[in-house]
Amino acid sequence: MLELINLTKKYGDFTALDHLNASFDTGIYGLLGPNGAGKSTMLNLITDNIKRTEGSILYNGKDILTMGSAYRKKIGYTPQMQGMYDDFTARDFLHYIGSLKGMKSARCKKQTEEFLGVVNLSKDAHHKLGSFSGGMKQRVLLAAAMLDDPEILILDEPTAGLDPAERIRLRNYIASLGENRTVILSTHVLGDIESIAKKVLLLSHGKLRHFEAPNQLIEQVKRELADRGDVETDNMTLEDIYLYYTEHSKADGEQEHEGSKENIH
Amino acid sequence: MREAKRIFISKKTAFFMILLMCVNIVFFGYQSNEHKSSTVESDTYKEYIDNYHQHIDETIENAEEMTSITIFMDEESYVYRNLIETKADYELLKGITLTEGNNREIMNFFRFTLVDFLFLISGIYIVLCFLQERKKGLHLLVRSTLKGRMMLATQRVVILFTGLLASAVLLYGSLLIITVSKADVGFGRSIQSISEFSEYVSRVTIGEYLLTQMLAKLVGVFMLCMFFYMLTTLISSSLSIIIFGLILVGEYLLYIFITPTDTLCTFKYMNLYTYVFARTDYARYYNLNLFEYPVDSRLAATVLVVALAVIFTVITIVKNRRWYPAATPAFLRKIDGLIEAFSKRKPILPNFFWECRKILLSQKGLWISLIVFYLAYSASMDSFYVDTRNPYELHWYEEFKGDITEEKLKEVTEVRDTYVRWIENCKKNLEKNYALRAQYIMEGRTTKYVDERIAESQANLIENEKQLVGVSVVLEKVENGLAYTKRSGKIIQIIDTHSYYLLLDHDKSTTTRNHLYIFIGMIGIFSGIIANENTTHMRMYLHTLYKGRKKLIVNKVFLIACVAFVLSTAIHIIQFVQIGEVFGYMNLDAAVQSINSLRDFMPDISIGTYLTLMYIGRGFLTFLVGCGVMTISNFCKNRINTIAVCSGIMIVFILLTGISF
Repeated sequence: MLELINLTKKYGDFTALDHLNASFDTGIYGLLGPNGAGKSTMLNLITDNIKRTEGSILYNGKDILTMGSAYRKKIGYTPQMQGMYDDFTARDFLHYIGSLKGMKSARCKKQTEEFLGVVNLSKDAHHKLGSFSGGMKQRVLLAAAMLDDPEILILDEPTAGLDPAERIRLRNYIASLGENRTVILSTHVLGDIESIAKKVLLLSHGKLRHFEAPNQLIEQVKRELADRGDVETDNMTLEDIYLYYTEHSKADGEQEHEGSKENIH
Repeated sequence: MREAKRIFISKKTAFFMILLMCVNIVFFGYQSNEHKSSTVESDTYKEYIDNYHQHIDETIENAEEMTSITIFMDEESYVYRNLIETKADYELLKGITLTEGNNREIMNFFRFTLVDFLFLISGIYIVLCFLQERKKGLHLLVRSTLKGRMMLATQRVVILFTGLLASAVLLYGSLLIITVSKADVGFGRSIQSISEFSEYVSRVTIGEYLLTQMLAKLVGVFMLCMFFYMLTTLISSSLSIIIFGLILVGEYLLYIFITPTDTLCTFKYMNLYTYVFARTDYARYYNLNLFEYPVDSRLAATVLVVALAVIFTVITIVKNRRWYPAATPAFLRKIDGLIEAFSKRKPILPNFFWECRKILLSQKGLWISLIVFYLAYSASMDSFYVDTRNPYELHWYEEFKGDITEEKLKEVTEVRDTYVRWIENCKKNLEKNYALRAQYIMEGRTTKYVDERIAESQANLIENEKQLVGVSVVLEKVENGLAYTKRSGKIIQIIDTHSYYLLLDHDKSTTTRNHLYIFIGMIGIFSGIIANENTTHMRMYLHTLYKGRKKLIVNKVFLIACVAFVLSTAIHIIQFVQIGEVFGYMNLDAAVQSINSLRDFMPDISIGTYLTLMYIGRGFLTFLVGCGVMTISNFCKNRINTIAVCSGIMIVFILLTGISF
């Protein structure tokens, strides 16, 4: 089990993540929030890529900082970037990542071929990554994350740039991955989360607004908004909630901006 | 115009040109310093000037005489026509005025080959700039625009030529300014005033020759770059780089290994590098056999180079109109299948080899190290060692080799005393014989017998005096060595230390130049070691992997160590071998204190061990430089930034080594 306790990250005066508490068991967890909400910061903290200001991250009761490489052995990560080594072939890249994951040669070879098939890249595996489209690179990264059967999968926009058929295929595969491991899935494609996520984390301004199952989340937000009476809540979907928070986030941001201007004056 | 602006008015180009200029000037400075003491206006040069016209007359006479020999008399043969042509060509040089002058500085300019490589690199850089759009996937967009095909290709040909012209002015111009500032070259003198150009059968001045040479280089490099550009239009960028590289290497091997007297020397004279270098080979007189007619090799090469440049230009421009970059050629599709089959069978490499692959292959580290090694090697070929040691001294070193002891001192002193006595005897004999000779003359007797004895005594005297000089030097060393042994209690050996003196003290400019090459190599090879992880956005990703932190860095450091020791040893060993070939290394097992300059060195080790440690030390220094480059690379966004910062730091190093012109 992965637990985030009072997790806080500050960049100077700016608080990117504010006392976040959450725990993740097996299953798929959707991570939602407008740009600047703190999603990437949270994922970077979980992957131990940035230092936290406060709080702790525990894996099976142990702090991940004390676990060090033993923790990294258990995670698989798909970043949002598509740089990679242009002169490596997809197969080379997976072999390289496999060796950095400390996999035995035979197992690495076997899993490479297996996951290349899963992401539908077997035929292009000997081509250089430099010739790959964004979607293809994303699939290579997904295959790389799955190597060595990690217990925690952290997927940052894994279906970005994919065509609809490929997106649905991979979404179904990701759904199957959640059966025996923790999958944290950050995406803007709400359809990906709505049908497969066990719970959804809704972040805004670095704060965790909601952490419930998609249906419960919709119901709760509906109730909150109905109480305020400023939004039509009938037939509300997860997408509407996301849009609501995105717009409010912008408005809040502008207000904050005005406020900061006044402070300066 | 915008294309020219994109290429020339960019930080990258400015930085690249500054880097080339710095490398050019610094290494020219090193070469000038090396040759300062080696090339002297000698009697041989005066003899050359005095005898030049005689040499020309002889050549003409020889040619004339040979035409009358039966086997050369066939008027339809190449040999006969060549003799006639040679005579006519050399007659042009009759009455030419040769003026003595300072040829050392201008010869330094002519000998400096690195600038030709840099000039070629600047041309290749411009062509690579043309390919940037392909790398960024913009070529389809560019080609869909109104002027994105033939017009753009034509503009690029002009840009390439202009760029090369500017580059030539900067690179060669800066060297000429340094040359002129150091000595009055006398550009108005005829080129034959420099002995290396004696066979240049044209009445031109040094200035005119320089201009011709520059034009030849410009056209040669332009043709080569156009060929590269044409290849990139006809086939894929990576394949054209491989083919171009193979052609450059192949032509270079032909240029280097074929001697002027070889039957295949046509490949040397009709070679790309004859034009790129355009040095003394370019000035050599050689007529090609073209359908039994002698044709001046320079003229033939000029026609060929210009014709090729035009052909490549036309093909490039025309092909750009009809080039379809989106299509994969059929033969590449076939190769693709083979690669796929092979790809599945490739073994999985351990982590260290992945790092090797990234640095040495992906980031072209292997090429950089080979280029650096070659440049260091070719620069070393320019420096030469002449053995001016006294052979008598060497004989006594060999005779008395071994530990310096009281007994040894006695032995050497005895020998010295013997020679002193012999010399005295010789002198007495000579005096006696001179007196006898005078007496014989007075008596009117023949002096033949006495003359023979005088000659014999004189020869003995000279021989003994030479032996005395040799043994005295050895004796002095033995005395000094014994004094040292008494003082320190360490036993040292008698050896000839000249080679060690050159290696450790005297030939410092070569050592410093080698260090510089190695450091440049290390910067080039490892500038992207971490910066490239930033450029490819892989750094944070690698951090999330099991072996993506400490072990990754350990592998990188280990790779730096391997490359540092190999590169450093390979480059420094050139000097070791060169000195060894001329002077040899006497008794590497002797105590290191046997070398005067190392008397105060504390540990009791042999010279061989000391030299090994020295080379290991240099390797370690190189390793530290590599680690420094990695540290800087860690803080830089990309490779170029790392190179810029490291180059700045290296300038301090250059200033500290006291480079001067």
